[in-house]
Amino acid sequence: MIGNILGLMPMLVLFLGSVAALFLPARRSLVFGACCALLAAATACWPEPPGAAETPLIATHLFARGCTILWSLFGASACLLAGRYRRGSRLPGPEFAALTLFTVLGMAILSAATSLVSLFLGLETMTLGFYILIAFDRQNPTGAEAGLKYLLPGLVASALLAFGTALVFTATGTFALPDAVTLSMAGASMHGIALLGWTLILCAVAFKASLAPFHLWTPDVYQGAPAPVTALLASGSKGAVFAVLLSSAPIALLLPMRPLLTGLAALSMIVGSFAALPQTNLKRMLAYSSIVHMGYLVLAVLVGGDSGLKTGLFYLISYAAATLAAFGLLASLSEDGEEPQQYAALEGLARRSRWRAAILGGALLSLAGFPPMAGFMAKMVLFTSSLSAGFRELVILALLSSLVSCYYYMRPILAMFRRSPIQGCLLPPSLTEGVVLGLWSIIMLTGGFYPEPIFLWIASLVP
Amino acid sequence: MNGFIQLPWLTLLVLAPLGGALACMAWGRRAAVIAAMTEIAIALRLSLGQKPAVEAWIRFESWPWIKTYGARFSLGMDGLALLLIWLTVILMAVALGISWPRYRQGGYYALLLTSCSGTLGVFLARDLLLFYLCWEIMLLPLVLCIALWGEARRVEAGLKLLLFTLTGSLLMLFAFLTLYILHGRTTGDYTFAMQAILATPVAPELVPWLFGCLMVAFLIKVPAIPLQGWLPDAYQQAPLAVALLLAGALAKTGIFGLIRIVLPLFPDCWVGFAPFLAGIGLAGTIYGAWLAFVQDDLKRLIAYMSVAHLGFVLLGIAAGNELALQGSLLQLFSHGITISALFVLVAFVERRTTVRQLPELGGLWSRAPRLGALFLLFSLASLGLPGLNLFVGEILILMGAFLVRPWWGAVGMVGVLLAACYTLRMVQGVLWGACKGGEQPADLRHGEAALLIPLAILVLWTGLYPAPFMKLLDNPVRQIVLQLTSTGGLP
Repeated sequence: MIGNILGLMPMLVLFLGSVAALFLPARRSLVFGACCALLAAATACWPEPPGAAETPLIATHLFARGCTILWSLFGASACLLAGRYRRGSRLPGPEFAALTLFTVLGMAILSAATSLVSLFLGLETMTLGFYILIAFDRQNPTGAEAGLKYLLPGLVASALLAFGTALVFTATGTFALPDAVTLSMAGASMHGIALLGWTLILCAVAFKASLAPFHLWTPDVYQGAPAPVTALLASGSKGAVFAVLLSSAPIALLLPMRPLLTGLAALSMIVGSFAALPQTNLKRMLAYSSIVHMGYLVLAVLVGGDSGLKTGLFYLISYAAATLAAFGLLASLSEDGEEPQQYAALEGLARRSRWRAAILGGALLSLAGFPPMAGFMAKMVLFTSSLSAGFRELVILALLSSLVSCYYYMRPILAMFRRSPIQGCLLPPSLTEGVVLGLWSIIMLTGGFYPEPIFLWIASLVP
Repeated sequence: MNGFIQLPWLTLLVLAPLGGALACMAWGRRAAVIAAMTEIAIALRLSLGQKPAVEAWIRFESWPWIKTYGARFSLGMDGLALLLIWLTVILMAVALGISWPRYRQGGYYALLLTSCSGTLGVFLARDLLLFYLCWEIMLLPLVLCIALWGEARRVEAGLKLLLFTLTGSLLMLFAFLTLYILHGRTTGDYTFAMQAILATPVAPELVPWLFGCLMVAFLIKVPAIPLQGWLPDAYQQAPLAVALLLAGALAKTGIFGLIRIVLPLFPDCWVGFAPFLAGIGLAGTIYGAWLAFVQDDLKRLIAYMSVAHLGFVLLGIAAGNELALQGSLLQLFSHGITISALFVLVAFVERRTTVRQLPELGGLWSRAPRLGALFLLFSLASLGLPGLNLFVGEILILMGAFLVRPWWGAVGMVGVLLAACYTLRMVQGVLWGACKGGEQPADLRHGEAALLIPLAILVLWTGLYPAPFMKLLDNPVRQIVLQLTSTGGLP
């Protein structure tokens, strides 16, 4: 009993923190939210208590705890980045902190799910928070649109997930995740129905991870949501979805699902690449490029097993570091909640603030997969494991799409360094923003130059 | 050794420019000078403290890096690498020197230094992953330099260069990963160490694919004939320092990669491909000469001149006997020195007359005799005048080529003849003829002379007494010949 409570400690901290944040003065709430998230991360670092039994819904093994650490760090970053928006009275602080923690709780449940029920629970908890967070800035006309655009596909996805779960339960008679997958394999009595159920679940997951052709909400939501929320959405929510696909719901084991996954991956790479090419808005470009990255992650799901899990998690970390750095930088450039989203607005940034230009440039290069950034190492590792698992065609497609990606990632970089008539000083980044940007930049560089510590940490999570 | 304290000199050599780049970001461009001086000091230390070149590596350093994937930070230096390191370091100093009066931003110098760091890494890396990492680090800063500080059509030129070379890089990455997996599967030892991977027995049905991937990747960088699409724009639009590095140092990495990776990996395929490679080289010589002859823009002219010279180098490598290989490898060094000196001279001429077009130039000799004299010296060197540096390499390559197939040598001679045509046209257009432009241009200043005199000394040294350089190349050449003959290669 005590063991179970200790195992669930990070989630309890997140939950209690999210309730407590509501009662705090606005000035302190965001920092409090970040501290709570960090505390949750710290309790998740705590070594596994000896008596911790698996609860039927939520795993407490090291992988789940490692994921909780990641999501908590992402959540803390989002809270720390939101300070500028609160001061510009674009966001109410306590509610933002509470909802962020609640969302992180959803992600933690999702990545620790061992049952279809907790998968549903986690996904809905997470999404519920995002419904509000995305439309939080009521003065922003695109915010409401973005909220609605996330709400409607989200509801469809929930319905699909619920129906899929029901079908899988009908066919296999169990909610427990690895068992449900095993019982749906060829030769099972209600094989067809189970496959239909898994297909529906995959569709719901693809909605959340914005895989093509379920990606249509992505650019508008990225553009309309405040940058800290977009950062959390891009890094955490997609990460949690992939964490569950990589660990406890290995649907790539079901052979008939493989063509479907291959199709999703290939389509995401192609559609994302071509849609990102003509963009002139940084957030929309990042949205389309995130579709490509999710396509790469499907490769990790297809590879499966230990190697897929490890390379997928490393890819997630490096992708999240670059995304958080990029959106964090946008947040730190915002004035009165107006972010310089257009490339034209970024012109001359290098002259006005060279370190921030360097960070944004580094993040974009990392996403493009240029050495010596983490993105390169991540791609290298992921493509190696996919090649050795025999997905040669997909790897070639992925290499081609990363070739194309150089063009759209280079455009904002060139814009930043262009001379421009925009003058005037930028507000210097606040301390909290500096901490967040510094942290993710360091991870970005470490992942590229000396990734061994990160590899070792990941290896320690996967027994 | 020699009582010196043993420091990891190679590692320092590769990382010092990176440190310099960071310092440039923080404290402005003066840090670049310190970095360049450090590099020269380390290079001196490396060439003074060397053992007699009997072992394969004069110096070898290896650090644990990514244990999970079997990659180590290992650097190895033999005679060829030492020569190319000197080339890179000298070119880096010259590139900083000619940029100094024109560019003030620390970022520009940081990018140049980063690229040099990558180039040094490529010449030294003994680990495939490290090699690839350095290969990319070398390229991207120069693309940014072109796109940000180049001339009118800079963005287009930069993106073109990026797409061309990146295509090559991705092919290379694909081949490297395949080799890594193959090696791991057959031996159970997943490692990126070049020594191990280059001995991988590759299944015969995969060989042509991998060979093709790597060949294209390296030939793009040279650039060899069908793959030279990026070259004219990149050279013309680039800041001079970048054009200098592209022609002087980066082009060498392509050939270096051919010798160090493709050849040991697929000696059989190499021998079969050698006639095509010679054809590519000869085509490059003739085509480059042809185009150089009709260019009016000096930068473009020198760009095509560089293509012609690199064609010779490819011919020598394809010939594959000791004589031609000696010549080719020496030519790598000589060509780098000469071509960069010519780029520097173009910069000086442009600084004085504000134009680079041949029809608008003329009469420089009478107005700036010292500048004119140096221009003449380096032009004559580049057309292969005996006693100057390019002659040594050219004659060795031609002799070697004659031994293998007489007609290779014959066509090569035509190339030499054409070289005389376009170079003399350039000399005539710039130095002699009627004086154009109103005001009297100043003659060479001391600072400018300081950039060119060391290069002139090297030109004369290599031309008159090439023995020390040849001695450095003895061992690498013998190794290549051994790799070729062990598979029953060329006569």
